[in-house]
Amino acid sequence: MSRAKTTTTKLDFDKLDRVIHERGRLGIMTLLATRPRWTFADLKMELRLSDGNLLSHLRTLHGAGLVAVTKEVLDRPTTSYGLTERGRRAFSNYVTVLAQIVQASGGGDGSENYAG
Amino acid sequence: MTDHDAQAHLRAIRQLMERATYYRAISAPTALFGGLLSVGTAAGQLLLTQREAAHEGFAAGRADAPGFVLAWAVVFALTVTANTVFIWRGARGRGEPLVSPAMKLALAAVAPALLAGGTVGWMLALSSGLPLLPALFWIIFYGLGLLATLPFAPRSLVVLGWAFLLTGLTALMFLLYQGLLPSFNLPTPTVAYAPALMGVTFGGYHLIYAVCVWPRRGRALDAIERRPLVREPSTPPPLT
Repeated sequence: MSRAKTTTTKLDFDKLDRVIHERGRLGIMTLLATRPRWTFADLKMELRLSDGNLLSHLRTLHGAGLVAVTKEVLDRPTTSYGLTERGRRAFSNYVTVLAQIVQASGGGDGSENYAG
Repeated sequence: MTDHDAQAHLRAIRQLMERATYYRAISAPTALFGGLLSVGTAAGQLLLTQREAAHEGFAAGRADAPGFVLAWAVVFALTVTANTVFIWRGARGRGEPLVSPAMKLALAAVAPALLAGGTVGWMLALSSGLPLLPALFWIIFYGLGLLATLPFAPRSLVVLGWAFLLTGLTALMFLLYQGLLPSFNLPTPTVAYAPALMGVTFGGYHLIYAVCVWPRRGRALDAIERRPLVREPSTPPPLT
């Protein structure tokens, strides 16, 4: 790989959102991008995270303004999670940067839309 | 992080998204199977109805209403069975349970409308003796069932739901406008409406749906997966 390409790729990696970049949180953001609301139980089943781990990641994402929490009382209290507009943009940007990195290194056109 | 990691992350994101939305409620193979079965059943009923009406008049169509309902109940049962088999095979391939959280959500959403449609259709068949009334209400309630999954359904399923609902309502309004329904004394040619409507909707719409949603791989992702930067394990690193 040329020096210029190496420098570009390094800079692109720096653009990756560190909040999203962690594996558990990336999995959460990915699932939340697929539909408007997910319950805690469904997230846990899909991601196979422990309660504590999942809760910790959700709190981090919520604190960063990327995830919204909705509490409802239907037949029983239910908490669901969804992406905020900021979260949707952040996830879309994250995937775009990943695709650009891959494209810059010689694979794909990076045009796939993952924003849901 | 390396370029290889970036590729792996993208693939993992894609797989997770596909898995999360895979339920589809109606898979493409199921839609193809159900669509073909519906077209065949409708065509058979149409021919039978025309022959009986020509020889024995309107009374033949009226008497056949329970038979009409039974035939389409069999079509429904066979299609549901096929859908279960297709989904089970897919889930087994991914190492997942047959009924995923998304599937449970979808079933909970569609069940009330399908139950109501089935019950109303059967009651109408028995009380009116006309196949057309259960057909109309099945089409309408099936559309409502699909639209009940709107908050989490793929766009294709929502479009299919609207197609059924609008077709059923349009046909119902047309028949009411013609003054045909209230009297239940439909002229002989309209006896063919029921199988025709079922063939067009449950047959034709499902076949179109199958063609539209048949699995295709994204070009960009194909490029990524065909040209790995480095030799890599056969499965990407899991996100968990």
